[in-house]
Amino acid sequence: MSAMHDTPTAPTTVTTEHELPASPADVWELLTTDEGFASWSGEGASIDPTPGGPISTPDDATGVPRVGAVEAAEPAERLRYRWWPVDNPDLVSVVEIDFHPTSSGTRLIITERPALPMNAIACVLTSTTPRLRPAHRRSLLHASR
Amino acid sequence: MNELVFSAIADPNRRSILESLAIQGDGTATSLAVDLDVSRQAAAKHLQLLHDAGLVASQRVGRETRFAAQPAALATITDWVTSVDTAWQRRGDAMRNALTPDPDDIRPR
Repeated sequence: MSAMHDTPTAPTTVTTEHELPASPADVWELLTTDEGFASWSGEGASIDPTPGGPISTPDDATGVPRVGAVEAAEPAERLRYRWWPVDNPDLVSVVEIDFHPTSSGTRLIITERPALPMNAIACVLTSTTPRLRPAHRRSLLHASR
Repeated sequence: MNELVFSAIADPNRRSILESLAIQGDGTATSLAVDLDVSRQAAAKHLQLLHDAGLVASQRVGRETRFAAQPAALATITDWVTSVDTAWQRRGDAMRNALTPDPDDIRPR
């Protein structure tokens, strides 16, 4: 491994923030119980919030089912897992969700970054494009423009 | 093509070169050798393999050859970032809806 891989990953780390109207404990339930997880992620979603515990979801937000494994679970504080699309197991990314109490509920700060260097991800995507669903990728991209 | 791509990215030095080119815009065998702390000859050999795989383009500028990551590869990175951001915005909205069921917001599954 060269030093290059230890440089800040800012360009390839996606960070989003979400204000939710519930306590960190309730949001933890929403994210880490099968029932809670399924209520926003998709029917049949499941998660075992212990290190090594499996995650599986139809991921309604993208329509691309994903699976993964929990890496760290500190109730109402921090959840970290790695996951990948079922149809593209090379595309592993790490998701970290930090819980911050606010006067109106909880602020979630969520980061997702590739587990591989981004250039390798680009190559994986490029070389497997035919296996992805082009129409779906297009709609995802257009929705944000 | 795919075989060349896979062997091109199998090497961590070549992945670093691609990352370096993506961040800096372009580079030469000499500048990349410095970035990677390898010999100029080694950097040039990696660049040739990346070039053969279609992952970098080369352009002769005066006495030097400048290499740049192919725009398609860069676009793929941008696409990834955009799609991940969009997906989390949607998941965040879905979390909020799950916490505050509003009759107007309920959509058929």
